[in-house]
Amino acid sequence: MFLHLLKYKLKSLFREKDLLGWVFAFPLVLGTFFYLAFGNMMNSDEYNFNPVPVAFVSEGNTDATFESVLDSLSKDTKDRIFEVTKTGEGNAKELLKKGRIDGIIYTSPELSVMVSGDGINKTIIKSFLEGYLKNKAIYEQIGSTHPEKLESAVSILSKNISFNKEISFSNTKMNSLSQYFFALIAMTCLYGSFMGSRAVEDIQANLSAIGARRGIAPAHKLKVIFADYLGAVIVNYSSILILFFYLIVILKIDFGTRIPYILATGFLGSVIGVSMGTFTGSISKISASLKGAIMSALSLILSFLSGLMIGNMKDIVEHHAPLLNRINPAALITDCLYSLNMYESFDRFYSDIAIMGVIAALLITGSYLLLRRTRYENIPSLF
Amino acid sequence: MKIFQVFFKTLKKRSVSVIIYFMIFLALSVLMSGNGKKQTEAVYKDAKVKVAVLDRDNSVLSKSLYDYLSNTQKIVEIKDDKQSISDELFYQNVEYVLIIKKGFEEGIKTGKYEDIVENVKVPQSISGKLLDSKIDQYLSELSTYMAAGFSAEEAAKNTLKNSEITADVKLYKVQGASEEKSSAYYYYLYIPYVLIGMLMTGVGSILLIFRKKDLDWRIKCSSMPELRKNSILLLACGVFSFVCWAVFVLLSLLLYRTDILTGKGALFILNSLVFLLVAMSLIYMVSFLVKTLNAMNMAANVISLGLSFLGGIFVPLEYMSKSVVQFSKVLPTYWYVVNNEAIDSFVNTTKQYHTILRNFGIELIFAVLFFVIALYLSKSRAIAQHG
Repeated sequence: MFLHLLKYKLKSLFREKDLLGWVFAFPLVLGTFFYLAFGNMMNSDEYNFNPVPVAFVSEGNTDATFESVLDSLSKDTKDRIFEVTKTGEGNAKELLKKGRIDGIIYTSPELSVMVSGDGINKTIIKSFLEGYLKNKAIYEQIGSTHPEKLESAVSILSKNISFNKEISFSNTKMNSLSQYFFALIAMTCLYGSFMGSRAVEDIQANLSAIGARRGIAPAHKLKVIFADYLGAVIVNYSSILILFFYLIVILKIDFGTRIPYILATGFLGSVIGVSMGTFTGSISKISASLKGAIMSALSLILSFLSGLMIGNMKDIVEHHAPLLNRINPAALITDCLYSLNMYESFDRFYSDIAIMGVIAALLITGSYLLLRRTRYENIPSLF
Repeated sequence: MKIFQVFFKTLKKRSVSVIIYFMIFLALSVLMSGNGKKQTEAVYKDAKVKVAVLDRDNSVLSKSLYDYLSNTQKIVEIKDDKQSISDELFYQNVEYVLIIKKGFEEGIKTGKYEDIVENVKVPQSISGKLLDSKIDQYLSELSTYMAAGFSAEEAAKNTLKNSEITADVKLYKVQGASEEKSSAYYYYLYIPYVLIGMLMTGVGSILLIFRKKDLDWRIKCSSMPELRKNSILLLACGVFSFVCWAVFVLLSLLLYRTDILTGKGALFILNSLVFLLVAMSLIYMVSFLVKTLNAMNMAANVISLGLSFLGGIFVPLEYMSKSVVQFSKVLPTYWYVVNNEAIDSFVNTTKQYHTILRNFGIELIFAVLFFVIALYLSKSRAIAQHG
């Protein structure tokens, strides 16, 4: 009997092409968009870098060494850093005013830069000048005390040595952009709520015709509810599995090596998502469209707070309202995925899972209490 | 006018849902604009990072690195075991943990430089990334002095002294061009996301009523031409959207009055108004492509987030690869963002003026294009239903 109910629930879900298409396509499409937008930063070697336009004013005593360094960096090659205009002071200021250049480099009376504000390019000019000044000091010091070793010593400066290695305690390469994908998974989980609410709409006689039909069937209510619930979870979870497959296998985004735990997180996430829907759906007094609005708004704001639009949102929340992160299901899901990557021990992961379990249990109990023993004297809204 | 009235009657019935969407997106736009500015400031302003240094080498050189960090950053003492490092990082008591491995000094002396220190940091920390390069710079200077034959003490002293060298930066005040992007810039940057997301869920849900077979057929069998029907419906959407948009503009006046009550402010507002037209025709077009309310909600999310991520709203365009930016040019949000930037740096030159006007033009082309496609869909569905 139960299997029969489940089978028909799944059949009916899979026949609703419109909703199903979005449930499966939505995470994949967004995942692709994220990948396109961040792909560049994730494999950060290829950086869309345009040379920084600067003016060089060399009135008075010029620093020939500096000029040659600047020239070599502005040669028209692949690693070109600057685009230099050599000009007089007045013209340079005019260019700066018009925004054609990002800074004016002066060599006299001392090496300095004039900029019109903050920005990445200004930081680049500033750190270039600082690097030059530092290296100059090093050359002078070594040249005057240990001239014989000057060449071999300064070669270290120009080498790109990685002294400092970033580690995480589970040996996976964490990327700050992973947070966006974690939040996407959380959002996909929460979108299970649409199917959850649909499932309980279909068994409430005052909300849908099919509910009225099923209300008179001699099937045990709990079995009916459970079959519908399970059907929704299965469909939602399969969309999450497809998303995981797409992200990990096809887009090759590093989620770490603890795949079984990640999949378990996804499962509990879809249980919470669907339960959120059944709970909202069980409140039979409000209309279906309002329910849709509530669920959509809720999943959106919860996902926002877990970092869907702004990656470090969860950290900001952690600073200002840490309790919110403990009860927001989307934040808990992202936190599970994050802690699996970040920490060796499972403490954090298990405590998140435990809270998620409690939330799911509360939502399921709530839906059951709202749905049980419903009797309809009449069902005026439908017929 | 019947259609016009029906639109608002439906809106009244659905008012609670629409208000919910409205409030959510209002909250999002305030949260995002407040945060956007802080985020970018972290890159430009040299904020001190909360660092914990775990010195396992305890040598002259490792102490010098410690001194450098304590001079420039904020040092926090933590216990040297994995669990407490994890916890301190999680609760943000530290942002950056630097582990100076045993054999650090030996490594520098013998030229084995690779990975002599390790770091664990909060993944989202921009300032942490900046600190990475500072530490690398310090260590490369330290190694240079050592390789040149200085004693450890001398090398440490010299490097520390070197680290105090800064370049002289003067600020040239350009009239009209502020030093950093204005708050208005950030507020209006997120407006396309907010408008598309809110109107597609709000207005979209009402438009779906008109796509229902019975109502659609009833209207189709009247004498009203397709173009007229669609124009009236779009006008109704327009009136409602305009009111929503006006509230957002008022909010920006309330929050960032000094930034908005300028010539630039007017351009920001105008830009968002032009985009409102784009958003409306886009939503009108999409309403032909989805059938149920839940599908509409999902579509609203995919489209608003997709356009925002690829158009440069959530991720700055300069961070994206060239080929993706090329692709972004076919999205209306790209032109909105580019225009928003142009307006922020507007100093009244004719050239800038032309650029801004051109961008307005491109945005309008998108609006017209979406409406034309919507008209086509409106008709082609008719064929499908009769055939």
